[in-house]
Amino acid sequence: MATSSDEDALVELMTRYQQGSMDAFNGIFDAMKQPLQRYLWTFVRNQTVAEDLVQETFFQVHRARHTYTPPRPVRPWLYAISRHVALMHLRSTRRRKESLAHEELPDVPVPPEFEGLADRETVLKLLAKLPRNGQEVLILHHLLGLSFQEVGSILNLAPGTAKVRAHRALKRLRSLAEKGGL
Amino acid sequence: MNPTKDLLEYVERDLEPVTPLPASWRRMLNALAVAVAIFLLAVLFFGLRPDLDSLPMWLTWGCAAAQLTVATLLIRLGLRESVPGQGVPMRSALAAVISSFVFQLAVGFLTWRVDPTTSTDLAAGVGPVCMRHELLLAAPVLAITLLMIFRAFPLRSWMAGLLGGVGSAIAADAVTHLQCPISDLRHLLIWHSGAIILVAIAGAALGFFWGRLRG
Repeated sequence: MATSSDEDALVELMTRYQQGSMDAFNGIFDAMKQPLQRYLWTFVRNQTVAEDLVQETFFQVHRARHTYTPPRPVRPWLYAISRHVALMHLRSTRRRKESLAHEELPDVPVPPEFEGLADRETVLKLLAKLPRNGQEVLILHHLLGLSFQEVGSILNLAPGTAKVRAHRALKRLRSLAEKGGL
Repeated sequence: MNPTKDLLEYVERDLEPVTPLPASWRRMLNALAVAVAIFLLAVLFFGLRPDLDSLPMWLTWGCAAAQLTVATLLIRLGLRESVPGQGVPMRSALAAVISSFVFQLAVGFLTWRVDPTTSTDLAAGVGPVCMRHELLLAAPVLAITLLMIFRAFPLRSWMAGLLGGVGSAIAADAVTHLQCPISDLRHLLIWHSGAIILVAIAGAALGFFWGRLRG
């Protein structure tokens, strides 16, 4: 989970990247590749495609780098772009009627709130059964550690709506776990 | 995972320093400056409605100022929408669009209640002139707004275009409210509200196609 000092370091890197530093770009890539990959995996359920989408996200980040305004938090800006990349990808695969084999979630930690519900594998499978919007809020808030304010900015929601969605999704996840809903 | 060769080459090729985009309210001032300049020219060239003095000031200058304020807020929302991570919630955007449209209708209705005039030539004559006038006033404001939207990085470009379009049209309507002497509700609905709808559609469509082109 990212701390405020991580966020400060990202702001610093982003500012240097806007000034033309390649090292800063590499720094942002290193810091964000894993959380972005986890987030993108929830859209495509395929490790290789998620990796490709991380690369595509950074192509778009480079094109949009002037729209980041320091000292705003970097992560909501970055996740909003990656979400757009994922949605574009899903739209184009739907159009091409492609389907990819679903894989097990690789190396994704289960947040403490979910640990009591079932074992890791079951929780991740239950998570996949939730509606897309609930799933996304849970992943962003509980797994990737973003505040509801930040989740709201990424999903174009009021923070209160994001909170309500997370609460409902968590409730649904609990009820699925109790019913052994697999 | 490391950046691919393609990504690194792409970034290295174009790693010029960039200036961060100013805040949306500062960008909005650009659109407002263009709007005010064009509207002053329109008033200078075409004058004000002949019955302006017989109408209460709150209904003429007051409502025009209020409409211009609403338009400015809509344009600001459009400019916010054009920055990743600062998008406007869908419900808020739709509420803003619908309430600004209702406000325009309310201003027209109140004007009709205070000073009812009828228009006998709904299909031809002055109606199309009013619509063309309103479209011409809105066009440059929409152009500068869209330019600023497209220079950012809108993720829902149709939504940013729609907000910019409605804002530009409401701003133009604020001026035509001071110029058009016909308060007939049919005239208002067909030609003035029609112009607002056309500009809104144009903004959303241009945003949509631009989004598709950018990829």
